[in-house]
Amino acid sequence: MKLDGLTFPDDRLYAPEHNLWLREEPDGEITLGLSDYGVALYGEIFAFTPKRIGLRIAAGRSFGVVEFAKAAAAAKSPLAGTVSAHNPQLEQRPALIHLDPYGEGWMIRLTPEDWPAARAQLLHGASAVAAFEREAERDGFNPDDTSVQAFRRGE
Amino acid sequence: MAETARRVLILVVSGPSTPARCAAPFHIATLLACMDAEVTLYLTGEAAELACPGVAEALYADPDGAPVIHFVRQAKQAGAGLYLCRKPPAPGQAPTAPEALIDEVDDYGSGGELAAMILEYDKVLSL
Repeated sequence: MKLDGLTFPDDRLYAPEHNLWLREEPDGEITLGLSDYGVALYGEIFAFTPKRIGLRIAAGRSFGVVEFAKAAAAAKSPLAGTVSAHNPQLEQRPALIHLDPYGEGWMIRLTPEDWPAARAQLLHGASAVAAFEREAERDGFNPDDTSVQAFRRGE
Repeated sequence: MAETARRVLILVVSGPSTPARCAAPFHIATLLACMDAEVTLYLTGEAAELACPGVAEALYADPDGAPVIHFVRQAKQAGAGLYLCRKPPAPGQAPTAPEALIDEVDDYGSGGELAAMILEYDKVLSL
């Protein structure tokens, strides 16, 4: 399955099973956000509630909950770490998660426990895209559904 | 600071006579499960009717929204358990058979079992 129209920038890592992107910051913190595929899957996001700063998150556990039309989903961290920051803009504008997922719509920052080990499990480039395509196949995602592009245009 | 998983019991008491209240227990259960809480929904009183095939499919909390069964399934998908309070059978009648319930019900138990759960859980909500 091709994910035409969705972008997966090369300058970050991905956890396709959690629909997330990750980026190591210069200070060693890890920023997490929703990938374009996650945006396509969930649609318009109207709330994101992160867990509190200072809380330890185990790998595979929720760092918050995303609410979208008629549904909600856990945002699960692929790595163990401690919540070090929230995106303050999301309190007033949670829609930034789907409007600018790779930029102002970042979701949370973690202080990782073992970043080298976690990084080894993450994907980037063509292997990440292939993994997202497999996820899409499993999810029964319809690539012909243009609603994602529509709500980004504000229709 | 490590997080400890909390066990939350939601007593679902709203049923077909108050459709506007019927989605909230399941939506709250979904959100709690998404926050890694261990959630159990317990249908009791009129809410037990939601476990009968066809009832939750035909019930809408919001006329423009999804049927209540959508919220039930979402809570189940998020990991919540769904239990039903078994009424004592009427004299001369057989107890409710599990096959007469919707597939989403995990199990059903007595009032005494429910009381034990209330004492055991970290949080108990009635919705």
